[in-house]
Formats: sequence, structure tokens, C-alpha cells
Amino acid sequence: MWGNKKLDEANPSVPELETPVSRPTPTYIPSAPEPAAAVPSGSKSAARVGRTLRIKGELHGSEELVIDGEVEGTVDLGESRLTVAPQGRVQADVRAKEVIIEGQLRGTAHASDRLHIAKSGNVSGDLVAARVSIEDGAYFKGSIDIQKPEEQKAAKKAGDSYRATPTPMVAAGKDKLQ
Amino acid sequence: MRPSLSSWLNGQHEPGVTVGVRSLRTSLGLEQFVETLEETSHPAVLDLGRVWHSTVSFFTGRGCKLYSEDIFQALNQAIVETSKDSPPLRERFLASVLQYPEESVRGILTWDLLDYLPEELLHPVAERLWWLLEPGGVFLGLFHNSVGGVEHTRYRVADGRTLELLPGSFPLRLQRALPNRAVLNLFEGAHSSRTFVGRDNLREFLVVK
Repeated sequence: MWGNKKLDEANPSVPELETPVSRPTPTYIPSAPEPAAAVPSGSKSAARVGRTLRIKGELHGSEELVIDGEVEGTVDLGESRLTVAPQGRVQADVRAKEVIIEGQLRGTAHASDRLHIAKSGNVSGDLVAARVSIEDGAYFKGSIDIQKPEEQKAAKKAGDSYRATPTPMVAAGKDKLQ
Repeated sequence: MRPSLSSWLNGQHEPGVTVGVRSLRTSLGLEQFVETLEETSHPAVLDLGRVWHSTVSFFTGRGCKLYSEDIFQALNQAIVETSKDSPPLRERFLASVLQYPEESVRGILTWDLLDYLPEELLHPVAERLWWLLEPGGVFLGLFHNSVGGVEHTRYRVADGRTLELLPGSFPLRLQRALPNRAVLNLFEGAHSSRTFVGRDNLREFLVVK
């Protein structure tokens, strides 16, 4: 690596001086592409877990769902969209075509297409999606893995789609670190 | 080979220069970091700064799996929550961060975290980071040359050799300016290392395990 440079040879790469060079005129550089615009908390026709509802268990379906309350367990919407609204709290493994997080998610999320974390989003967990966008200001702790739908299907068939490498959030062998 | 001053400047940005509304700095360390990552397929990268779309997009677009954990926020929280009755800072902090298996990541981006860690956390955190890194994995950190006049800054990747600097939101104070030897001593048994000195009071250290 780098010519197997030894530690003692740590070599500052300060540019060598040549004839004076005028400073470049600063040029405007356009900002990085903004994440996709936030999608409103679900369409009017979407099924909704209301703000006062609390569900524990498995949710399966093939229609759009907005979670405004609390859900704990698993959520599988197949080819539909899941939105965790700003007041929503989800502690679950979720799977959908699109996952929009404006509230809180603890767990894993698989989006065969798009996963979006809004600036109000608070996410701890592992995300697998074909596309991911995150608004500035969002909180995220965990892993992000981009997988195309066919890769996700293959991983699911292999039965390891929830098992990422390295396995995150596992207590490290702290005895080695004391 | 050292870059010439003209190539350093040509088409690049002065360290810390404000362009439009953005403050940018060229990062040769980042460029080398990415080159090292590209030696393996689907490398896992741990980013200890705040999550930014541009950074996520940059690394995932290169086939990396990105782990993101805002240690600056965790540090600020641990300091704020310190009281007479609370367990030692080291105990609380290490119990809440960097919980990954041994040798599980190929690259670690610490930004300038280590300069902000209180003395009791510096060596334990560096030790744990080194422990998380795979053999052949690469560490990239920024280190300040002096303590004075430094305000907490966030860094995000603008492109393969440019970082964007943004004002930090925590009242964290720089604890020290480590000499080169002290930085390298944090990573015992390193395979190789490289230092890039900027003109903006920052050194970039790239260390391969």
C-alpha cells in the first residue's frame, strides 16, 4: 500500500513550490443534488393506523399504508408504499416497494424501489433499498445497502435478507478493548 | 509523487475556501481512502459524522455498504448528561457507541472526532476503531494543527476529492492538537500510513491496518 511506506516515513504531501501561481478565481459550484422532495404523508386513499392506535404483531397487505400511531412487529406491504408519518413510531422489520419515513423507525427496512428519510425522520436500523434519499436534518444510525430488486429477491430467497454483513448493533467483545 | 503547486491548485479549491454559499476543501486523503476501498468488492464503510445525503450517495454509488453513526452527537449527549451521580464518562460513552463486531469494516471516516474527545476517551475510542477495522482496511481522520480559533465543523463529501465544510451544531471544544507521532501511536501495528497537510490548520491521516 503506497509503496509499503513505513510509519516513520509519513510524508506530508505539501505541494512543492514552483513559480508563484495566482490563486484560482473561485467559481460557483452548484450544490449537490437535493434529495427527492418529501412525499406527503400518504394519499387520501391510503389505509391509516391512526394516531391513537397501537398495534403489536404482523401487518400484511397490498395497499398503501400510513402509520400515524405505534406499530411493533413486522409490516409487509409487497409492492405498495409505507409511510411512517411524523407522529408515527414503528419498531419493526418493514418491507414495501416505497418506504417514506417522516417519524420514528427502529428496525430494518427493505424497499424494493425507494426509501426516503425526511428531515423530521429519526431512524435507527438497517436499510436496504434500490434507491435511498435522506434530507438534511434527519437522524440516522445504522447501515445503508443499495440493492436492486432482483438482488433483494435473491437475498430473500437465500433467507439472509435481514442478515447484513457485518451484523450491526451487536455488542462488541469489549474485553478486548479495555 | 508529490503534486506540484500548480496541479494542487488547478481546478481545485483552496482549503476552506468559500465558493458561492459553500465552504470547500480539497481532500487528497479522501481520494486515497476511496482508492483503497476499491481494492475490495462491496466494502463496509463506517462514517462517524452526521448523515448527509451526498456522503451516502457517494459511497453507496461506489458499491459500499455504509454504516452511519453520529459520534459527535453521542459525545455531546454524554457530556451534557454528566452529573455527580452518573457513572464515569468513559463507561457510559463506550457502552452506547461503536457496537459492531471485530474486523467488520473496511474503512472508517472519523473526520476530526479524535481531537474533540476528552483525554479519558481518546485511547479507548481509537483502540475500538482499530479493532473494528479489517486487516488491510483504512482509517481516515482529520487532525488540527492548533487548538485556537477552531469551531466545531461538520464535513460531508462533495465529490471524490472535495469535502464540504458546514458549521457544527454542538458546543464541543477542541481538546488538543496531536503531533504526528502521537496520532500514529494511536494505531499500533499499522501496515502503512500517509499524511496530507493542508493550509487550513488541518492534517489528514490515512492509516492502513
